[in-house]
Amino acid sequence: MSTAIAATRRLDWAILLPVVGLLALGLVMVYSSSAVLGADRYHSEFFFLKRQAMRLLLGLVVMLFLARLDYHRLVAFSPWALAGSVVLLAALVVLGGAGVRGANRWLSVAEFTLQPTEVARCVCVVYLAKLLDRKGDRIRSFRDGVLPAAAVLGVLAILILKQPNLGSTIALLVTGFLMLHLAGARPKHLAFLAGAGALLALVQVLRHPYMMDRVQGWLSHWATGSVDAQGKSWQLHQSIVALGSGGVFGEGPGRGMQKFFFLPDPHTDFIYAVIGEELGLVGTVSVLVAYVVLFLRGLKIAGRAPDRFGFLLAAGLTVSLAVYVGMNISVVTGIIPTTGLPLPFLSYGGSALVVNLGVVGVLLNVASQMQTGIRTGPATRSSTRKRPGGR
Amino acid sequence: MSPLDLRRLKLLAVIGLLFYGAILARLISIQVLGHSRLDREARGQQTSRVILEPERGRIFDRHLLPLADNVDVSQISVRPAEVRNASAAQRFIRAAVGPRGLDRLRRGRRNAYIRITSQVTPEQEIAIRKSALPAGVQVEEVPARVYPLDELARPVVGVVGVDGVGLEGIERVFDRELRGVGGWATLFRDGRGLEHQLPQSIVKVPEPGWSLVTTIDRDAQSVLVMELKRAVARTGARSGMAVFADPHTGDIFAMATVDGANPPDGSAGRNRVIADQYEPGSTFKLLVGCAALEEHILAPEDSFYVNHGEADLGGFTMHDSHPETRWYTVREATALSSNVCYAQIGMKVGASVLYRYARLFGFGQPTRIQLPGETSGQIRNPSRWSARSLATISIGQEVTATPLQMLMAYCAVANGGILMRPRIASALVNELGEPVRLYPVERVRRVISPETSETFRSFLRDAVTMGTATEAALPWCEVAGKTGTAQKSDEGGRGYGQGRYVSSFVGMAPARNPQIVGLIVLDEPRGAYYGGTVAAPVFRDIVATWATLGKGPVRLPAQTLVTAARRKEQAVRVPDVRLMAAEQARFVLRSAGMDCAVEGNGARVAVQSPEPGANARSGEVVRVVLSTDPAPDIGFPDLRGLSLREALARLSALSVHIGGVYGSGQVVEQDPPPGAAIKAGQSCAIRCAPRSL
Repeated sequence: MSTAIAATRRLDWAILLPVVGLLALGLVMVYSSSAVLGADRYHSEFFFLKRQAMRLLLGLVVMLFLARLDYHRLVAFSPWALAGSVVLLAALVVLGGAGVRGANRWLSVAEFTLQPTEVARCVCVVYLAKLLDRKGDRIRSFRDGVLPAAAVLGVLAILILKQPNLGSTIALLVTGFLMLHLAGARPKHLAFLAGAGALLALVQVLRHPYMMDRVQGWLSHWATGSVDAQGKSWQLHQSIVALGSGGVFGEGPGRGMQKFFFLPDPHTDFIYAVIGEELGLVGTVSVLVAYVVLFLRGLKIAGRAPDRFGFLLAAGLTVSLAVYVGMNISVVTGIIPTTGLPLPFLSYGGSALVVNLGVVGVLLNVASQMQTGIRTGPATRSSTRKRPGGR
Repeated sequence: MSPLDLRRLKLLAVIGLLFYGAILARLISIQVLGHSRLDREARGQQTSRVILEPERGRIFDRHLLPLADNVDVSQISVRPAEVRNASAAQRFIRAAVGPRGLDRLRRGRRNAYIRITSQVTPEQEIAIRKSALPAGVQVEEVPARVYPLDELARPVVGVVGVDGVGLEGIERVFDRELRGVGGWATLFRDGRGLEHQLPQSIVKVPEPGWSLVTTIDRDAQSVLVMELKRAVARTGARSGMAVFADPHTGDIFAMATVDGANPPDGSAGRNRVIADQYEPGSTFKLLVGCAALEEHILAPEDSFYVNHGEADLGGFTMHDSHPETRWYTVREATALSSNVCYAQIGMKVGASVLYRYARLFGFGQPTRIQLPGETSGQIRNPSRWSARSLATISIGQEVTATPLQMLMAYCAVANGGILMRPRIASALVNELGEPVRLYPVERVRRVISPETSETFRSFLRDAVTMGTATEAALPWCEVAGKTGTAQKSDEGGRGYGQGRYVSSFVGMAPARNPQIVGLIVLDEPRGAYYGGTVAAPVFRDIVATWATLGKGPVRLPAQTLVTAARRKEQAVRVPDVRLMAAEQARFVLRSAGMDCAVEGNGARVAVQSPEPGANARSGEVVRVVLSTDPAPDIGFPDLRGLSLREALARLSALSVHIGGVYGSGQVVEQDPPPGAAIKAGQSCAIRCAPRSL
């Protein structure tokens, strides 16, 4: 179809602009927040910045490639990708269990380190989109519709939990849950899944003392607004102090003090706190607005996707990003207990950056095929093409 | 997509927006509403105020030589947060400090900063400098107070406590002036607790304390303590006190307390010269005699008859120490210290006049010296005197005085009749050496006329030339003085039989124009106890040795002339026998054709006269004084941390050759190390580095 081919040449600026803005800010803030750490640990203030810049270039290549790759071709690819992710995650569990140093969240092959979790969460979305698209109305059946999807999620969740990485597990499950909801799963099934997930999380927290400490610290911080006697909420409180001392306009770029070993991971999980300290409310709200624009655009693209797979894919990927962003900022602002999740596009971290730019690439591709006008309905669906299996 | 799909999408968008709205609300609550509180908290945890201690002012003697100085010493400390390799740090500390250091390390592990030791010995210092410091361990230079005379001047100069506050002596009295004004700096403190100075740090520079110039003469102080120590050791006294002053200004040249084996009450280091009172005995006759002369009650040549050294004074009998039957003039009674005569003189003077003169001379009142812990002595009001009090007080019993009071009374006679306020601090100077406060000489009052003082001084001269104090005489300088031997009143019955005595001598030289007045008090000497036998020679030796050093107010007569005269004869250099044992010194001197007169009974020669290298005739008698001071046996002193000048002074005092000086500033290394045995003629090399501030 000529319109579709022409559309692939066109980039969706409503997606790209916020992403480019966040990436640019991310580079600046990674430098600002990691220079001290880099100088202290690696004798180079540019250590983290250089690595981040290299990965950014790689990520942009991946993004442009996926933006030009028809998203329907992901369907055939997704089962293999899912199988690969499971193998990688399992390898991680085995190696981590065998006590190989550093192999609990990262796999190192030669110089290249990979975080299988980041790959798995996106592959999972693609696979679920494919699965749920195929299921169609059968999603209303628990055994036939919900259970297969839940099984995929469950396997991945358990493998990720083994790292242990509760934050990513929750993000994955919430994303999957929301995709099931979008695909039309019945509320009582969803409620059941939510209950099962909550139980799983509770068991995990009870089984791991450090998780328990974080929850207790978080609760006491809510109650008192300051650090508890045992220092369980110290990290959380440092984040709040960073944000709060920034005020409305911030201390100025690079002039934050909390990154000097007060904030636990100033360049990764707590980069939003550094932004808050150095750029103030202006900075934090701008970032928030950029994300919201991106997500609303992502959902809009989903709503206008040429077919149901595109709809589920775009919505799922957008939701996946939104959940990560929401959880990270909630941790930084103390809304939820501390859990280690990076902030997409801003935090230091290669795998996440490349994967997230890949997600943007897919969104761009869906956007390029989206229909103009507000019309929706059966006609839209019938106009889709290249839908393997169809319904 | 079905409309249902889109409705669910919209629901999702709405829920998402609500969630992000909640985040926005939370951000506003933290960054706008919580800003001032959290900003304050951030400042609080990110900054630390460091107190900058001012440099304490120094204390100088009258020639501006330091009595109390500041040097930087090495201090080993650990910042646990910076330690990378705990076992390496522990190994280092065990090697450098020993198990005590490890103990400190363990106890302080929760602190951001642990001080391991501030007493790094030079050997440790050298070892430390050779090896690389493990991360987290540091050697810092911290200021320390040093006292070049150490315990020789401790009771006067005092000491500073660990908190930098002067505890005793001058350090305590002038603490406020010496201390300076503290400063502070605001440092940035990072999350690990480490402090950094940033360009925006606010600093208030501390103001160094003022330095104090005292009237103390370092030579005199050393000589005084050394001679007093010898005297205490020789006589077995429980304690000895000595104080020397300039009679015209009241300036204290030297002041010393030496406790013997069985010292009286009071903590070690007590400045007994001002803190203890004693019954002065015959030295108190001064004011009785002066009162009699000044009030024209008696003339110098008025006579008293004494029968068998005793007299019945209306109900009780007074005894002289030597039972003679003869006439005594007032002059002779003073020179020979006749108790019988003086009791009668006192009775002629009368209670009220005697009491008035006692008060005039400053007894029963503090002298207001600028030192802590002064007592005032006691002389009771005549209304409370018993029938025999007048007679007893006239010979210096039944009254108490501090040694300093007695000294000041004699100063008044020495200077023509004026009681001076004793002065120990003459000026405060700022760090540039400019005087900021002067303590002028203070005359308290005129006590007697110049004529009376002149007359009484001649009595005192007679005491030395032909009276009880002949032991105080010097061949080259006329000395005047008065002995005192007081029986201690509280007969407790301990010790060996008989009574217990306080023996003293107060002298002045030169007798016709006194430049120094000095008092020696020995508490309970064993064996011989007459002040003339026990205390008078100490005065003589102090004056002689001090004069030899050549900077005091009393000099050896025409030293240069003597030297020139000797040069004409066969010129022989006096060999250096200092630090030699007595036998060795005698042998060396005999070999050089000289004779040797040994005094004292210490292990090594401390002082010799004439000095080494001086020209001498063959056959000359070289007087050597053995030191009872165990200091030479300790070996080489610890010079590290001293200024170069100070180190050289110490070495030359030990008659050690300077084997080489490398670098400048303060001494950081010495060879041989401290404690090594000193051999005569040995040399010592020192290495210096600039004082770091």
